[in-house]
Amino acid sequence: MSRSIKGMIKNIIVTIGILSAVTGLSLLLDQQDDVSHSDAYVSMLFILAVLVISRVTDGYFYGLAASVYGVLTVNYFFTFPYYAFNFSLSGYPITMVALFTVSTLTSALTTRMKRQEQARAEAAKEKLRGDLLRAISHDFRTPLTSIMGANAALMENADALSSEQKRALHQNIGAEAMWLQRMVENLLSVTRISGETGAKIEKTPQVIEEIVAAASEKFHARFPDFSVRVGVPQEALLCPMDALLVEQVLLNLLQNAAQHAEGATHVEILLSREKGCAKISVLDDGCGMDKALLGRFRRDREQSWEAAGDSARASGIGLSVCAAIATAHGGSLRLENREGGGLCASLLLPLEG
Amino acid sequence: MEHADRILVVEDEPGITGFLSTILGNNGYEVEKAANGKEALMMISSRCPDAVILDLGLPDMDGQRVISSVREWSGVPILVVSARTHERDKIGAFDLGADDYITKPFSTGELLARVKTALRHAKARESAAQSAPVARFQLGALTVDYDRHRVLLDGADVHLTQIEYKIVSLLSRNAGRVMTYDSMMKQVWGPTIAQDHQVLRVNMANIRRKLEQNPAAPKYIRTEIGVGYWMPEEE
Repeated sequence: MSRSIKGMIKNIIVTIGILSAVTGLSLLLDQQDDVSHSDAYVSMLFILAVLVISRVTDGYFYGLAASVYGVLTVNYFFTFPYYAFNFSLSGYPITMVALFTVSTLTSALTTRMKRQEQARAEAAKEKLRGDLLRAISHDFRTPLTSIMGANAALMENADALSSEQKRALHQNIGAEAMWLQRMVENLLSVTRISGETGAKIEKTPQVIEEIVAAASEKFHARFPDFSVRVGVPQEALLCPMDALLVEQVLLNLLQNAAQHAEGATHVEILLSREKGCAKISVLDDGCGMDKALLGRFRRDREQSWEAAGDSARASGIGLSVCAAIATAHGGSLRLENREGGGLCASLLLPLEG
Repeated sequence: MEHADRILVVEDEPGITGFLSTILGNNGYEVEKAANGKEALMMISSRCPDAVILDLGLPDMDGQRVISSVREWSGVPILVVSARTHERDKIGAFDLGADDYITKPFSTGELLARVKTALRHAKARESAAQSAPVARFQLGALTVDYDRHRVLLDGADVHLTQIEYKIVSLLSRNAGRVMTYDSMMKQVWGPTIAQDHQVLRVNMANIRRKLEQNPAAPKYIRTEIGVGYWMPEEE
């Protein structure tokens, strides 16, 4: 409710602001132009104003109100007789119809665009939800099968197995359990995005280096052989965010580097400020990301990761969750292959709001 | 011979209780079990365990209530083990007096290390209560000198503001325990301070720049995301 009132106030301010500016400008031009042929460009200015207002405000009302105001103002100030209304001018109905048409068409286009954007955001969210549901219903079966199978093998053939075989089976159980853990963490993140609070997340100002430290520590506990280096600027970056979600993004990116970047032994996390955003980059020295996959990620995330193999799909779901978290923060996720090899994944979060 | 430390495991899932008692038993602890809150409260008062491992999702009452009723009369270390990961659950547990909070799933190595730490704390607290208050705190190259209100790094003075010193000394006096943002705000700025934690975070960022080699890989002051800060203790 308060949001719609806020929107209305914003619309009114924008409309009044633009109209006063155009009226002022026209009056100024009119005064300088002693031949008083200003009506040609004055009408154009008002058409422009109506166009802009219809584009930036919500719904039809403000554009139409601006058209009425424009017609009346042009009539009163800028057409003969000056400083008086005269509704019997020859071209008058045409001006009026033109302004109303501009306003209505623009508003209609704008409304449709906004609806499309909303639908696209909804679709992306639905797709993510779908991916995760699929993950539970289908992808969980694979690791569960190998856990149950390995366990059964250990229980039933305990005497026949060599100690090496036993260790391999145990390792298998551990690895699959870790995969499940990763999935569960991502599921939890999604419930935080679209949980009780609706699509809105709870943001509090956080010092980013704390989140980076926590994520790299967790990562180090899971992959002790992987070296992680962290670089922070001298200035502490404060940024409003849901800390656990951002930690999840970093953890996903780090784990992708460890599990899916072939040949990677080293990751670097860099923190910087970029145009009103905090930028957290995770760089690895692995094989980089397949060009086709990268292109698909950039083009449209509505695509499913279905075609990818089991493990690639896991990283794909991880990336979808990262992107969804970035979007929920009003930021973005950027993926690019590094020149010397390896992947650079950057999370951009707006520093304000 | 020293007697084995006795640990009470409060958990309603037999699967978890089973593997916890196995690993704790194999590591030289004596294990007791309780499957619900009522039983847990009874056993804590009758069997006097040296530490309690507590699940929050108990069938008869919430684990938080177990913490608060135990804390009315006992300082026994309580390690919460829970599937709840939300900050508010952690903050609630710490503010009620839990010593540690471990989220499921956890590795056995991690659990054992934290049980050991909690037990050591309890013993240190006990002996500290009987002797004179300590004059200084030592952790790696860091020294906090309480008498002279100084913080030293490798023997050299670190110039901290008054607030920064208060924060460091508060954390060092409670080393090994997570201090929630709210409790730190109250103890450093007084009880009337607003609920905004930003000032604390900014101070912390400045402290880290003075104490830590790399503020994003802190050795002296660690963060429990969304919950608070803590300082490790000298091993």
